[in-house]
Amino acid sequence: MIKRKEKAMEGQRSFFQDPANRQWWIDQLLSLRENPQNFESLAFRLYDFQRKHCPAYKTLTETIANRLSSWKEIPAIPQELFKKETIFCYTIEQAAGHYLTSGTTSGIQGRHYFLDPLIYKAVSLQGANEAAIPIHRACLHFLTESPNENPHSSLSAMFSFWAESNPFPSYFWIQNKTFCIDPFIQKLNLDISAGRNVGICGTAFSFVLLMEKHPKSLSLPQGSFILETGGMKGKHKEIDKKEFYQKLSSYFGITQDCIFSEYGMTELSSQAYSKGTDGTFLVPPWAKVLVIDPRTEKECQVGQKGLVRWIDLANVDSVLCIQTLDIAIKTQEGFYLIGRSNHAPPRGCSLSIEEIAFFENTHR
Amino acid sequence: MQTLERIEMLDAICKLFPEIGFRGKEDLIRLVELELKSLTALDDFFDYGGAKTKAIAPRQIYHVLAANLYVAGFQSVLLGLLVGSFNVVQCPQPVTEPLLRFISLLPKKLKNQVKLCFEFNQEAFEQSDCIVVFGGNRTIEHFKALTPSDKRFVGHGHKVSLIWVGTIENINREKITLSAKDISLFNQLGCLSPQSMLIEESTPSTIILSFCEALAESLSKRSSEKGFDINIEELAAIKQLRDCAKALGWTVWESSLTEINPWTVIHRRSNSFEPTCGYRTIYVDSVDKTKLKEWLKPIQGMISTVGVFETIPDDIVRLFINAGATRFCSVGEMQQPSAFWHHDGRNRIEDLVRWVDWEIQNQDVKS
Repeated sequence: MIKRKEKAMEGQRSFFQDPANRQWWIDQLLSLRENPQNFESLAFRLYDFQRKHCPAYKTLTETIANRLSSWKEIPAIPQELFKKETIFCYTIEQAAGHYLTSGTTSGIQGRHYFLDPLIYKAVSLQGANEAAIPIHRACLHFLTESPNENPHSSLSAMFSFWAESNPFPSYFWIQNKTFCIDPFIQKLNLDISAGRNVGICGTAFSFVLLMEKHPKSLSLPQGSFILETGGMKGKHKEIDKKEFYQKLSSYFGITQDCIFSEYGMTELSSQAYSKGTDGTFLVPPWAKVLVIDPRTEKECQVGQKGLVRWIDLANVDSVLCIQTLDIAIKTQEGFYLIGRSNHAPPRGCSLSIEEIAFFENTHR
Repeated sequence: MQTLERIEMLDAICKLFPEIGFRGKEDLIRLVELELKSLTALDDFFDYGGAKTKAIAPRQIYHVLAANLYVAGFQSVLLGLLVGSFNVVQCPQPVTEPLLRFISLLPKKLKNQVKLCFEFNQEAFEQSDCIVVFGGNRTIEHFKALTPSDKRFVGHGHKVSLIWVGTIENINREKITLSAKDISLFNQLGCLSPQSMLIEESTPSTIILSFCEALAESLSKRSSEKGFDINIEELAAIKQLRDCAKALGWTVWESSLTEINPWTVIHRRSNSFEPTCGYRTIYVDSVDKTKLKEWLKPIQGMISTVGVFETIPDDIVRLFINAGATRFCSVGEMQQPSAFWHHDGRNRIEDLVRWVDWEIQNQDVKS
């Protein structure tokens, strides 16, 4: 009996290891636009697999009632757990690679392992298309490191997928940990004078740095776009999003509706996008975001503030449902992101984990 | 103004704000005598080791207060007034209201010795000859770097406190109730708030579980008392800690997060210390006594108080002292140190003053 069960479990494990089945899964995800009713059955299937094969998820779900009546009840693991435990359905030796979280707040980095990057690649490309970001109609300038320089950055990986599929030239402008502003401006000016559409993608911090170091404004050709992501992550004085977008708009000479914001995280495979300053974030059909009231664990009403919880069907090799500390307001169509959890909650004079890490980094 | 005159004026304020930790002028007199060796040390030279000496207070102290705990702000200003300094207080918004109330109740003569500012005041900072900073270690490092070496710098960074339980043979409910009090006060956000209760690993697991259940019951009894508002970020931190604990296979006792004062007890076996998120969230850590030194390593030099549940063996006391602990007390007393305690292991008013020695035998000195 036990042997039969083990065999069945092994069969289930090998299902997601088989490249043909992984491609089938990608096809299922990409067809959810036409068949949204399939989301729940796919979610349950993935949940059932992961709760049996990811040890930490198994432990967590054993403490929770098993019978789920909706995908909304799928238990979430805390995002923080990626820093404390291996969140992977296979052995680490089986992983093709991993992405590392920034570790901005605590100095401790989380790891997101994957069997192969193909699902991430497929949803990264289709996700941008779903959000109508014209990544195939512009020369792409990425204000990040390339995957060669930073193989563990999920953002660099995503941008490289965009670059590979783009018929126009693409460039990564952070080299040897340095933002190569002058060569970037030179190349950008060439594109501008040739009337080529450009897409400039980078962290909010990189744009702030650019505008500081090279204050002379630019005038991007019509059809160009900006994509910012990631907030300041403690590297720079936080500035108001509205003010930031006004600055970007006047600096690059584009309207604010040509500015996209990406909201994603290393622990996930999918991204949410918004357009303009007060744009609601929308997710692709293979992902859902619930805005959760931490008191009740229930979904907030439209207009209420809560915590972002992701259900990402592209997160096949780890866990599909992740509870973040990011705060959002639920809107009719999606969510409005208020703040990312870059900072620990305000405290008294009691020591926090971030401070222990800070002390270790600065004194030891 | 002489020291005794200032003490007389501060007497009423001590009684109005008992949370400061001084019962009245008697405590202030005793503090000056203990730390400065003479009640008039700030007023006149006094005999000292065959010569004479006098304590000189800073002309102006620049206090940087932390955002959450107003009591530390009250104490800092009171000690500044006690030594006779002018006090500029950089006061973050969350503690402005209680501090304004505190200042408004000072006698006029002392009120004139306090000036509030709500952001960094460069001019006042430069004019001050003593800088006192409360806050996170980043804040301390920041202000320390700004302070020239000729000025006195006193930094009170964040600290952690623990409870030593040791081996449990019987469930001592009275001590558990007292521990719950230490955990609950100030919503467990202070440096005197215990973050972990240490139990020797050899204790049978059934007893540990009963201990945790009794602790959960005690915390539950206190959960309806007047508490702090917990915002969504703080609730999220509690929830995250609970979910991580569950996923790591630790046993969790918890209240609903809809309660006024939610509480959490987590039993774990860990190799090293890890702080909780506060808000009545306590780790009960099973620790191998022979590996305690290693367990304490992440908080070496950052331990404030060790609460003692019943008794503590000498070798464990030595271990905590070597790890930087500055205070031992019984459970139930962790949040109420003696009026004469050494904050962060240092004298509180002596830290502010400088001494002037007079060693000329054939000439007397007047202050």
